[in-house]
Amino acid sequence: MKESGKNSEFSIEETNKIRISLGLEPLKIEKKTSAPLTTEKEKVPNGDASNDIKDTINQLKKKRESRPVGKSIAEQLLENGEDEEDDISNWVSKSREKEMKKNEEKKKNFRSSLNKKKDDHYSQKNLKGLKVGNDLKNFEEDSETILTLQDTNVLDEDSEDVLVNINIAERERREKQIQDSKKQSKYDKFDEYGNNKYSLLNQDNEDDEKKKSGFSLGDNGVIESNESLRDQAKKNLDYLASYDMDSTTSSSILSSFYTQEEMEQFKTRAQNKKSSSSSGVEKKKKRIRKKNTADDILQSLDATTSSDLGSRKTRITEKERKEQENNFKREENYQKALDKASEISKLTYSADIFEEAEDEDFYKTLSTSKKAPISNKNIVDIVNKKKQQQQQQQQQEEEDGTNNLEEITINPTTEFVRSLNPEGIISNYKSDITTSKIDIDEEMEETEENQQNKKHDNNDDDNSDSDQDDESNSNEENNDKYKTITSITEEPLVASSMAATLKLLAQKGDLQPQLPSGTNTKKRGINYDDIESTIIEHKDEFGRVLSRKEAFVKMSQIFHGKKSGKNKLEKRKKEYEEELKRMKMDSSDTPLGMVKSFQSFQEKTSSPYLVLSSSNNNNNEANINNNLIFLNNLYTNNANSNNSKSNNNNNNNNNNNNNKGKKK
Amino acid sequence: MIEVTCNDRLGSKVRVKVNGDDTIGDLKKVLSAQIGIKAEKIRLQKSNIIYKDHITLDDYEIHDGDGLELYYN
Repeated sequence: MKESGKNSEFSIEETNKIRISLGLEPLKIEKKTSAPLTTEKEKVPNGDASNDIKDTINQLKKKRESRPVGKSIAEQLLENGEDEEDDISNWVSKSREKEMKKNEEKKKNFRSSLNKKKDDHYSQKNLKGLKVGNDLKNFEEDSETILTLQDTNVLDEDSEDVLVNINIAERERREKQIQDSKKQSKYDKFDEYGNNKYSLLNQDNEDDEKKKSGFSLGDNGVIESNESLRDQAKKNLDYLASYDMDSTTSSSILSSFYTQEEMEQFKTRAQNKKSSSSSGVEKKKKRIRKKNTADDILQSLDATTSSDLGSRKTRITEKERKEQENNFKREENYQKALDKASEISKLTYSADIFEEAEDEDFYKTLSTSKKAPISNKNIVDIVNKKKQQQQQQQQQEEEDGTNNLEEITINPTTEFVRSLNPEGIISNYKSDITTSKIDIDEEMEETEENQQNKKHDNNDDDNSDSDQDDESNSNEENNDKYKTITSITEEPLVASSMAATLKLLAQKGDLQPQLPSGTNTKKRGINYDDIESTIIEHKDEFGRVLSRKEAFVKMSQIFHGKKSGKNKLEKRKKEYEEELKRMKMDSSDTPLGMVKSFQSFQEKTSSPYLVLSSSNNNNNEANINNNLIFLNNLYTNNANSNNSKSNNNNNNNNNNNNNKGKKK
Repeated sequence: MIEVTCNDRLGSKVRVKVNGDDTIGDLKKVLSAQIGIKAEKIRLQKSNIIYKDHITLDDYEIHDGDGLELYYN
């Protein structure tokens, strides 16, 4: 077993012993057979490769053999021409010959081409069958138009030559665009049996139409059209001219009245049936039930058969009659409206009378009052009477009620407090009411009462005492007492000092009593009425007393059912925690409790010192681990391992603060 | 048979012989027998990969001669 410090290495047998003791299998010992990977790559399939190689080898060989060994290409070429004598002169002659030949050939070609040109004279006849892309109608008569060959796709195999005039083509295109933009649908709604070509689906298919425009040139390049314009014009003229007044045609002069025949259109099926069934000869049959027969209608319509001969004077056209009727109606309505209005107006006018009638009482009183004399005396008497009444009331009050002529202020808080049970735990209420027991010795009691009263009502005016005394039985004793109380206390000289002025003011009661703790206390309870006895303490969720503002906020939140937002709440929590911390703070220690922790450390290590160092090694992690181990050993109760380890680790670097932070 | 080096950077560098199909837990046991620290207190790592007890060395691809880091819990 090797050991160098802590570096231990066990041999195989030792490890096996350990393994068996642990219950593990013994070590598996393998022979190290290093399997090199290189042998695999060399396994090339020999069969195919070798054949190819052989072939190439053979080819190369052949090439070598074909070439004469040791000779360059130039030499080889030269070998061919060794038969001739003088190279240059031969070459010159040869080249001349070649040139001659070429020239002859050229000439031949030229002649032949010339001949061909004569034959290929391009004439009007050659234009036979050429197509022209524009419509014949677009061409003007007796004017020349230049046609050019229309562009075709290179890849179109079956394209024929089409001649086109650019201007006309443009015009045609423009017209087509306009036509299309008008969006005239060729769909005929009413054509039931119409061409399927013009159905809605096929409206936009224009392929069929494209091919139709144009014409083709005939023999000698002359246009052949089925009908020339002139012929067409002629035809039109003939047609117009052929109109004959005398000739009887199916069409008749239109009249504004239906003819009898046309009236038959309006016959219903039922009528026809009836007429046809009853009498085959007569077409029209009078229905008994129906009043207006066709004849009647006819008669009424036809001007010639009407009875009205039409004199102007007596003629009252229907229009006029209608107008008259309307006017009459209008006037009637107008009258009605007028009547209505007058009635309503009468009502309104008479309302005044009604009002007056209702207010009869008023007017009566008015009149009576007018009649009645206005005497000052009466009013004065009334007022005096009232005054007297008031005075009496006051006197009564004075007799019954309080001793003080002071203003009696009633606070809701004081009333509430008064209503509370004075013997209860909560109340601060000090009862100023003296319970007077009436004994036999009235004097004694009264004196006692007086004394008590005077003691309590120290700040009252002297007058109150005097009144009270007047009512009491014995005056002398009271006077004595009275005298003592009315003795004026010495006023301190204000000029001497500040304290004196304060004293004076306190005596007078002008100074407000100061709280003993001073302005530091925001968090004492709320004194709603500036009276000591009515301090209400509102508490928040932590139990702290709320200031006035905070209490208001809390109450309003409850009232409206709204809470502060998340941030606010967290803030408050933090504040509370900090406050707690602050409270926990020890005056004799740092906020983190350094002294305490150091003391505990000292106890455990029983060493008076603490090693502080920080290392800038890369082993910071290791250091931290060291410290962790150290702490672990500190706080756990592994005595044996601790001793050994702690000795070790004490010598290592320690950063106590770091540990504390991490551990906690 | 694999030989693994466990270094705890505190001065103890231990070479342990184990089988490849042994688990980390077995390794820890052998290691604890060699060092003298309880197996539960040992933590084996390889730069912030903490090796778990129930996985074999082969699965962790720990080969012969590899070095592991030794920490204590």
